[in-house]
Amino acid sequence: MMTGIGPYLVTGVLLFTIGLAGVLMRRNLLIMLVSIEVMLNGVNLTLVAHSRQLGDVTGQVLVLFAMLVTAAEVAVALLVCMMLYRERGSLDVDIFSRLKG
Amino acid sequence: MGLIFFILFSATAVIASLLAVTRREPIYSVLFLVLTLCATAGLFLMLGAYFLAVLQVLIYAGAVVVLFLFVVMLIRREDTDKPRFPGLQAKIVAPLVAVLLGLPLLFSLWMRDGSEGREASGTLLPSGGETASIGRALFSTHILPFEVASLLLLVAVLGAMALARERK
Repeated sequence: MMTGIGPYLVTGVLLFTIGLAGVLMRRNLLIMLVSIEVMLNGVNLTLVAHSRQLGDVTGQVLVLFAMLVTAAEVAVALLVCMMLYRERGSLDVDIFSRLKG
Repeated sequence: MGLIFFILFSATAVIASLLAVTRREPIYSVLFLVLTLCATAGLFLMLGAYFLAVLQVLIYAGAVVVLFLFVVMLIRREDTDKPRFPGLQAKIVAPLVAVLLGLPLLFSLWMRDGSEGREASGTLLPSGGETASIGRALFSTHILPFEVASLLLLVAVLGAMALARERK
């Protein structure tokens, strides 16, 4: 058995960093949303690891709420994605820099 | 044994997330996201968070990813996913910024590991990840956030419906 939660934290930070690089790097709105999911996943992993270390269930409850909020966020974000796509015919975020009204 | 499983899940999560972020086709991106989420669910299991592992598969890998797949299905393929900034900048600057933010994060978490907390030995506590203990915490201490979360979901559903109808 491994000692401590260090390796889990490292994995969480790696996931977060990869997701952040994705958000900065990509132009496709959909893939940016996927990257945000990867980031959230890394944070959730960190929370669960700390919850385990402290023997406190609060961290896991927080992850539960994070999941609920993510579900709501994704539903609305993808709908907005679809509307923007219908409006502009593309999911390239550079096109959306000229949104108005 | 635990180490083997940890390396398996952790490596799968990291590699799949790298692929999810770098693939050109959104469909591959989303499918690698599923792999990342399932590997993370495995890590949750190893941490004793059984309830969250199941929820991760059900909510994330189930519901959320299906939404993504619907959108991927509805949009036309586009080959125009060029880097956001011209030249090498996107390939170099964006990962560099991410790493520069990630390294201090890694460092601080690594330094903090084991220095506080009730157990530093590594033999982990009886998990508290069972459904019963989470339910107890959820319906006693965290009952207000729980209700607010249900309200949030309701608002999201209504908002989505309102937005979708406005188009027609």
